[in-house]
Amino acid sequence: MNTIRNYLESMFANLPNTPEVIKAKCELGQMMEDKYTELINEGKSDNEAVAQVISEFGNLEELGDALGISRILSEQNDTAGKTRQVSAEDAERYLADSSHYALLHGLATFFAIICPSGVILAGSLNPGSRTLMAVGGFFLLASVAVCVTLHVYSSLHMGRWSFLKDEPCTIDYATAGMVNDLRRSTHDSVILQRTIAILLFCTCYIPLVFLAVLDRRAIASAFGVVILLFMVALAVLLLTVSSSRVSSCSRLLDLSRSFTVSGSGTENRGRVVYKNSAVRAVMSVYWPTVTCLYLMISFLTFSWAISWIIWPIASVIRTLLESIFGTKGEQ
Amino acid sequence: MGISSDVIRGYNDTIILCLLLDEPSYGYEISRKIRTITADAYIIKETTLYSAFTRMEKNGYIESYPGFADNGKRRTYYRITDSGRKYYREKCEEWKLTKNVIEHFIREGE
Repeated sequence: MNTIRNYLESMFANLPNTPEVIKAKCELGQMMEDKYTELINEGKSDNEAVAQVISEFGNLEELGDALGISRILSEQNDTAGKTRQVSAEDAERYLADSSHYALLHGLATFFAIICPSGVILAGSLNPGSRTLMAVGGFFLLASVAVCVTLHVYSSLHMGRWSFLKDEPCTIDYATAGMVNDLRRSTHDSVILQRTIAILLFCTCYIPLVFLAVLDRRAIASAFGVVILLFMVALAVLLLTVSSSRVSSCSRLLDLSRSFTVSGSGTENRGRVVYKNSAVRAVMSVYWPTVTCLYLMISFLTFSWAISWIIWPIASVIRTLLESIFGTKGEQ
Repeated sequence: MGISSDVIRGYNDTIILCLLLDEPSYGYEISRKIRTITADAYIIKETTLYSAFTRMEKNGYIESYPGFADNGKRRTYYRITDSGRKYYREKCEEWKLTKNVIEHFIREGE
């Protein structure tokens, strides 16, 4: 019976979400269910019954006039060649690829953040030593090289999925369900990763403070700074990985448009839309800007104990901006 | 040899109205009756049946009303209206005429 229900859902998945269409779907579903039940009672196997019900369903074009959607059906036939159907295997491969390359992206950022640690250690250990300075400098250049390589490599590989952004694509009902389940199942680990990241952000200055208090030598503070850099880098890595899973699932789910029947099956995420294009541009880089601001202020003033206040303030400001400039809901 | 759906299309409404003459009925029952009466020679598709229902309801030949199945599930029932009966009679006359015309051109044993 589930096969039949899925079949019906996918037949109706790309039709507009109107009362006529919903009524037709219920009515047809009822007829199919009645037929299936009777075939089973006659002693047919599940497979035989499903095959017969589906083969005797007919085709949707016959419903065109009845539902007032002939125009939409013929439009769909026109765009059928242009709209790309993303299969379940493709969706899985995309999710696997995006988490794989998000890890590489995260590692690239990791190296970008820790690159000065060699120089810092060398400078405080023995400021006069050219050899140590050279080793530190080598580490810096090598880290930057690794960072750039990883970035370019992962961007090139993710490039083959750019059609998801550039071309009209759709996913069918079953795939949307699978992606939705996947997103829900990773929810806990995403929360855990984010909590650890925030914990790292909040505590990263503690080793530095301790080392500086316990040991007055420059090397101790330098060591503290290096630990701080590693903790921040690790936190950013965790954030990158955790947000990639969420955003790639959302990208796939967004492909089933909200005004179609299958779109109503996925939860409405109540996305805020900005009418003003300037506001939209600013809001799209809001959180990266806040992060930069936070890191800059914190590193320049080293007042980590208080600079976290930027986050709650930023989130209040964002909510204010959303209610002033944004309209809730899709479209 | 299967039945040509092109020929029968013009008489789907007549078939359905005929089955509704005596008592109201619902989607699957009508499709099952068509199948048993014709001894599996004509199996009406679900989409064909549903579009016939909506078309005839729009034209006022049938009325739909909500009812309940034996197991308590909701189900849409259809009953024939007076104008539906009139339309049915017209279609029957039309078919007799058509049949007579075609009969002239059917030769057995060729």
